[in-house]
Amino acid sequence: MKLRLALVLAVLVLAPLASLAWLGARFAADARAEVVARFDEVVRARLAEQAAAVGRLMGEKVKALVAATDGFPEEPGDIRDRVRRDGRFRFVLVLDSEGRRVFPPADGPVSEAEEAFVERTRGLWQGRALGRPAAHRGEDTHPQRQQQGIAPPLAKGNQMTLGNGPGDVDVIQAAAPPTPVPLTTVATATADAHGWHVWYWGGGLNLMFWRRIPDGRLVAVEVDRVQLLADVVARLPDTGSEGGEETTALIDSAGEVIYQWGAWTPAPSQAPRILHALPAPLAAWRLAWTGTVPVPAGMAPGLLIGLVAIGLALAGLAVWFYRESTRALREAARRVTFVNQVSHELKTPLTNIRMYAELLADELDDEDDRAARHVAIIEGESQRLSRLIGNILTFARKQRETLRLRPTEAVIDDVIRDAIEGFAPSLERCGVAVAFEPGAPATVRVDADALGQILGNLLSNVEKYAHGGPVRITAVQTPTDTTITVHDSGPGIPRGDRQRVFEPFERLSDALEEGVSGTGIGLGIARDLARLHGGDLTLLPTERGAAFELRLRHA
Amino acid sequence: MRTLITALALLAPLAAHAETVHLDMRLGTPAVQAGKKQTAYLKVGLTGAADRKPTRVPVNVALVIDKSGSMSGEKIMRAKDAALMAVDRLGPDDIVSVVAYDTRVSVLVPATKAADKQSIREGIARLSPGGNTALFAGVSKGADELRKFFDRNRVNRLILLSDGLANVGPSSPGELAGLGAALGREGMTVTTLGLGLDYNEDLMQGLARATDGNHVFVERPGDLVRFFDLEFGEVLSVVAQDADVRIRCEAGVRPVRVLGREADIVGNEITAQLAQVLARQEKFVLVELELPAGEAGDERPVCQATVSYRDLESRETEQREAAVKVRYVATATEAQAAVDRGVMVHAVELVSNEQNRLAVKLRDQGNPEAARRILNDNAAWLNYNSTYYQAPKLKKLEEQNLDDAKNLDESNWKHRRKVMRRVQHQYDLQQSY
Repeated sequence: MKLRLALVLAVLVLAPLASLAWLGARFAADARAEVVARFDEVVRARLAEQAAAVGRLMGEKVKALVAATDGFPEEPGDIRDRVRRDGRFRFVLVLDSEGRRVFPPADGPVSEAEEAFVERTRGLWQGRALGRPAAHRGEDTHPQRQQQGIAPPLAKGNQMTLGNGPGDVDVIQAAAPPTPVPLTTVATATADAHGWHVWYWGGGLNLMFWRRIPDGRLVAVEVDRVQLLADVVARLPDTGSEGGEETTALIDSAGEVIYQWGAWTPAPSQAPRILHALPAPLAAWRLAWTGTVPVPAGMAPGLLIGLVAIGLALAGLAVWFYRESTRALREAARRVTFVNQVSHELKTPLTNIRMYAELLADELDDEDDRAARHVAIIEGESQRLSRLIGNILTFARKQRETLRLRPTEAVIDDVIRDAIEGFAPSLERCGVAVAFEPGAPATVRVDADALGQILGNLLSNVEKYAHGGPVRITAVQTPTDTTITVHDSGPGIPRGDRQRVFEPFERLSDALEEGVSGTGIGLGIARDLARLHGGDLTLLPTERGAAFELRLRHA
Repeated sequence: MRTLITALALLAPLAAHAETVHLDMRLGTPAVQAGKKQTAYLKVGLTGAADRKPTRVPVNVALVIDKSGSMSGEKIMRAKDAALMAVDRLGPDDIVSVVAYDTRVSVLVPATKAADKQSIREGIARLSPGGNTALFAGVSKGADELRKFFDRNRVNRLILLSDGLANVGPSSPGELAGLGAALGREGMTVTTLGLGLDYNEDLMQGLARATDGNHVFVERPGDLVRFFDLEFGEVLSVVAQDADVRIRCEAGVRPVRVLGREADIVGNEITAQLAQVLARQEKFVLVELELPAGEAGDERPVCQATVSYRDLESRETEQREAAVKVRYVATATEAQAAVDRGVMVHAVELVSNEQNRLAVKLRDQGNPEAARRILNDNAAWLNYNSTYYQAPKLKKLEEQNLDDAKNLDESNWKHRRKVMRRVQHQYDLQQSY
């Protein structure tokens, strides 16, 4: 009983706590996801700003190169002077309006470095890409790409030129073996247009600025990759002394780290969380952010405190409730004990009353009808009282789980007869005729007292509720069982109350029982005793009246 | 007209006290034997005036210091000492920045006037070693610090100290030389100090060479202070920079090659750049020419040179011109009598330098025998020339080559290779220390 209560209370405490904890965890997870999303957004914005700084660098380069190619000289000597004096140039390729190379000159003297440059960029100025020497093709095709590992991004529009005319759309053949697209085919605009030309060769990205100058010549300036890298690195942040658990790297088209900043070193296995491509024409290079998002681990502290508080309150409530209810139980047990003791105390004087009432009946003259009737009433009432006390003691034993049978040798028919005899005077007074059909003559081992108590309770009910009609009692015996039926002709028991009548302290509706006393434990005790006998007490379905069937098992 | 220029050129030494930079152009063999094509060496030298220095040229220096794990201990301590000492030598108008790198780059002292020395010292004190070697990024960032106060009228110099191999970002000698070339075009010079035995001398030397900067092999951390001192001494002795040397050969004269330095030869025109001109220290371009055959008694113009440079005192771009002639004489004896020993000794130095480089290459290819032979032959040749030109200077170089030849074995090679690169660099670019 207490265990069950404790279990129920534990469930009452734990169930809401668990659901609150679950909700809290969900809430915390949501909050965390939001923090992470916001953090990612901030990182993305920062990467975008850093990429934009590189974009501005490229913009400045374009501006500087446009300025540097203004009024571009025609004579090779003058071009060389310009190249030498201007740090922005390293090598320059000039094509005339028909796409023929005019610088470095094909017919005039060239320096060794210029010659190497001409070779290197052959694909750009030689209109026919297939006409290139085989050695070159071998150099810049597959082995190179396999070494690169990562293909440069292909998204069109991402690596387009920065110019401003129809002619500056510079298609990059990055997916195919990196055959440089001849400049003449991309820079077709006749107006003053310019743009970037990107191709992948010799270890990565190569960049050439081209401009169709007003006189129709195409001037292409090679941008030194190393110099470009150094400039990009210079534009990106350096590593401060402090900083969170994060690091950002600039990675080239081959996935190699060119530069990184942020004082934190991630585990080698940690993959970058956010990638951001640099703006065209450097879209093959990416900024890769690696780091830990600083989110509160587990639940928010406030939530945890709230949960603990609710848990404590619930637990306190449960303890209080448990103590209250166990006190009530103890109280009830005490009351039962008290009643039990009182009953015991009542038993002795009652026995004496019964004994002297019987003696008195014997001593009375046969003529003294009146006195005899009075003594019979005393006898009947004291019998009723002792039944009542018997019931209370049985009930108390049942409650204490000490109810045992004491089987003796007995003839069930005799026990029935004794019971009927005991009730005869009161039944007679109520106008109940008893018809007994004996059928259990064998001597068997049963607890005769318990059987008498069961029958007494059944007959007591008849006495209380079924006035004015006959009661039929039948006994049927098999070698192992005896079945006794008590069928009265009272108002019967409504169908819905058939189980309820066996529950302790249950009594049926008041209308029927006006002036009728009772404890409401009689039938319950009768059934418990029957069940102790390995049998049962059941209410049979009947047309009229109530019919109880008592089954007993005996060895 | 040409005679006039020649006369001016001849007069130039007399006017040396008045000018910041003295242009000295001469042939190793002002007289050659008639009748056949002759090889000749032409030197175009620039020297800053010695007695000039009313005001010191302001400098813009970036110290780029490797703080990778291998620098821990004495190395980083000495590097700090050296950097602190260098800062002490700077004047209040000078600009200094300190960049440290390992796997990543930290700008410890952003470019700032050297007036506030305390904060610079604090920045240097923050140097603590750990991590890998992002040399490329370190130099890029250092260059960016120089750029902040970049001025053609300042000496813009990046001083790189590293003891290891570059292993983050572009790391090949070629790429770093490319970076050097780019910085050189921008007007910066890079001095590289290789510390200990683990740095990549090809990378460090190539980077310096591409900017016409200095390169040193610092064997012991204890030498760092001395080399920083020398380096800053040189920085403070710069009188002119961005010298553009253009030599035009007369018809029939063929430029064969330029010894020691990078130069462009297009047709009959040679162009070369000298990053800086130092006081009392000659920097030169040495060209090998092929002279046409002439008749005895002829005198022919050979080349004219135009040199433009930024004078750091006047803050103007100035120009000098000079021309040389050759005389054709009948006999070899006559020709020998006229030989300019100074030019010829330089030519011998640079040619022997080429042999020395070839020896390194052969040794790299796993052929120490051939390398040793080359070095011994070179030493013999130097010995011969030192006697011939009565030049004790060449004796020193001969000993150097003999020493090189003895140290080609595996145990000494790592060290020796650094020494050889350092010496080659010194002669090629006429490094002041």
